[in-house]
Amino acid sequence: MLLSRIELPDWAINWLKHVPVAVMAALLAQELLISGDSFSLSENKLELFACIPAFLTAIFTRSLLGTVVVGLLAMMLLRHFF
Amino acid sequence: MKTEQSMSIAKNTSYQFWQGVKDCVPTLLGYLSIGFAAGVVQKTAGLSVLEISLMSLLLYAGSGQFIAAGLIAAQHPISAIIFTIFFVNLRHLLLSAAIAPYFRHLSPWKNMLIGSQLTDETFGVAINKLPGKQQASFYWMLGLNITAYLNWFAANLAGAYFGQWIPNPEAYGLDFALPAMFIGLLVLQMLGRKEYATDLLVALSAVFIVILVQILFSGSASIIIATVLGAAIGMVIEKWK
Repeated sequence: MLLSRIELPDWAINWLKHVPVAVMAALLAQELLISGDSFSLSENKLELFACIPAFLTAIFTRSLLGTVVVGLLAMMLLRHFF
Repeated sequence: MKTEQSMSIAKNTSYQFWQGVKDCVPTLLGYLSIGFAAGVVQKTAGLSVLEISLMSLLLYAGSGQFIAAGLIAAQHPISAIIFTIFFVNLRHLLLSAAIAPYFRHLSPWKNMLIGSQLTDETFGVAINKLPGKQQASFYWMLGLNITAYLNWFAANLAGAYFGQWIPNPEAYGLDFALPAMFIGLLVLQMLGRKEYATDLLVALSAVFIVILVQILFSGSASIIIATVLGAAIGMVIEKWK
């Protein structure tokens, strides 16, 4: 509503442009690299492995749903066997 | 004469509205599935069906609801949740700004109604249909928005009900729906922009900052700090390039 009246400065637009990538990466790191209140790779081993097929699916199919389904399946199998 | 005119306006109004509904249909299936996943994730994070309904109707944000579920489960304070969702959804400022020129003829109230209902998918439809037109129809945009809104609500409820019947969601890997969703959103963002080097640097800095903040302060502000600084790093890189 406001923006149909005012214009944002260039630097603000440039900053906003990078917010989605920064916030998604930060959230992902928080989910996968932080355990409890501290940084830990070993506590999140299985989850980190499940990321590999999820990333590949996202890159090659560009499907959000496909990524979630493959990620869930990978996680389920990893938990089942390890 | 006058009644004839007002009748044709009413007819046109409903035509525009239903045209908006029709234009929304191609996006329905995709968001039905994401909404369903969001419902399940929120349920497994410990929210009740009523709470999920309210989140769906009031927050009405896919990423926002996933994030809220994740942060509630990780017991972050409410202030951190609000700030994080605020930053994630700052992109709406950009989306609204992009379609604002088509809606300059409407009153502020009508624009507020349309603007607050805008989502990524209704924006996607609008930005594809509007170019070439002088002004967009208020009722067309309303039809588009309301269809997406009801679809989202139905999908969330379905997911919440389904989630209830899963006694041990972790065994099915359901807790991984959240990180998998973030992976999907992150990768799709980057593939759509084709600025891989800059985006990768921004993403890696954000990851690094999250870890650093966590080690130094073990704080819940890590996501906000990483977002603000990560995006600033992207801004600086672009300036130097």
